[in-house]
Amino acid sequence: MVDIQLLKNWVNPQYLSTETIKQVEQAFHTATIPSVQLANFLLPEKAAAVKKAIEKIKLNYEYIPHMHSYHTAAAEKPLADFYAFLNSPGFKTLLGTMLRKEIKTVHPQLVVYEHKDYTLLHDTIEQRAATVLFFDFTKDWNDAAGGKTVFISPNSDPLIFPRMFNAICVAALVTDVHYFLKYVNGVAGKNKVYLVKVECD
Amino acid sequence: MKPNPRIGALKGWVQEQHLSDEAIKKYSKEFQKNKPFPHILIKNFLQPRQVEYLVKALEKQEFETKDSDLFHLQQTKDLRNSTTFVFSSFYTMLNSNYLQKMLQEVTGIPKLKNTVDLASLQFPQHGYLLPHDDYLDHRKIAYILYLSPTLTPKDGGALEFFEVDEENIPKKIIKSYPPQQNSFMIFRVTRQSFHQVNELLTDKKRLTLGGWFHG
Repeated sequence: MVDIQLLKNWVNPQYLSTETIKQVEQAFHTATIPSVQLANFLLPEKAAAVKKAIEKIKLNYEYIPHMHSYHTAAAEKPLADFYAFLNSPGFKTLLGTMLRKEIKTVHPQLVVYEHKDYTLLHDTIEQRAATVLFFDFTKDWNDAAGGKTVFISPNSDPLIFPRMFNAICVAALVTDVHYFLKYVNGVAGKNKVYLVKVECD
Repeated sequence: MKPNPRIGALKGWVQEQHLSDEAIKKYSKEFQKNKPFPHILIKNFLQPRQVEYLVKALEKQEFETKDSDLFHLQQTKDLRNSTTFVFSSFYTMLNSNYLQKMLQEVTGIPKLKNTVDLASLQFPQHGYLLPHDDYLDHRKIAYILYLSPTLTPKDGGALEFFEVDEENIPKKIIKSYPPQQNSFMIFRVTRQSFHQVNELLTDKKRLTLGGWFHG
């Protein structure tokens, strides 16, 4: 059963209106790579609370030089409320309606990119077909620092999503669609890219 | 005195001290011994005036910005068929039997095909080339000729080599070469030859000519 109140507690009311949901659905399905970026998705106080929680988490460094360099965390306690929201029937239904797809499971993971971090495309690894979402909790980002999320497909121009606090970027990883996070260069200084990556099946 | 068979087309380009039997033996030993994969950096490689001519000619070349998951840098077109005298002359030298013989002696790779790629790379500030192995079936030796003024480790732009594990997965950097003007790097291209150019942190440019010798 869908808990409407839970959705209202977390999501910008604009994204709960039937009209907006229809527009998002259309935008997603007409993009060259099925994708959409939704600005100000969470209620501002929720986005701020998640950001604050993320900053408390102790991160581990994940480094396989020819594949990726980033920081992540196994401990999810400070994000328990947020992850419960992502796993709620309400969020799955909202997302499923926007994407015209039944969302059964979501797998959230915190990923943080600082100066010198990146992900690379890798042709030997088969990417499973899924929908991927990035909740962006990066603040005051300088675009010249890299760190953009890029989706590529052989049949279209790359889709580049710049960093935007409290935006979500959703894309369907249909055949031949791959993504990477552009190297974070020295312009970033001490600033970091904070993302909650969510794989949905 | 026995004439040096390596001089030929190399005369006027490569400094003569690199062409003696002793030098070649020394380089060959060093090339095979160097870790994590066979390579050697030969300093003061070209005649200084040739470096100057190459740099001047490159100042007139157009560089195109290349951007992908793996790199952010600027590259010229293929210079093999360039009508600029210094490039065609440099290419003739690279492609000559004399240089190929010298490379065979140093690297121990018996059959090179007299096919060499040639292009120039320029790294702008914050340019980089992330870890990769260069491996393609016919690429045997990668080469880089450093042309811009020498950089310090603080400036970034160093060529770095990774050690691999038993499954050929790169693990950690064990060699780092900050660019030194007029040095010539060659390394064996294999599935283990993982390397990167770390981010250039200075506004000084990093300018090279390079490519691969095929076999």
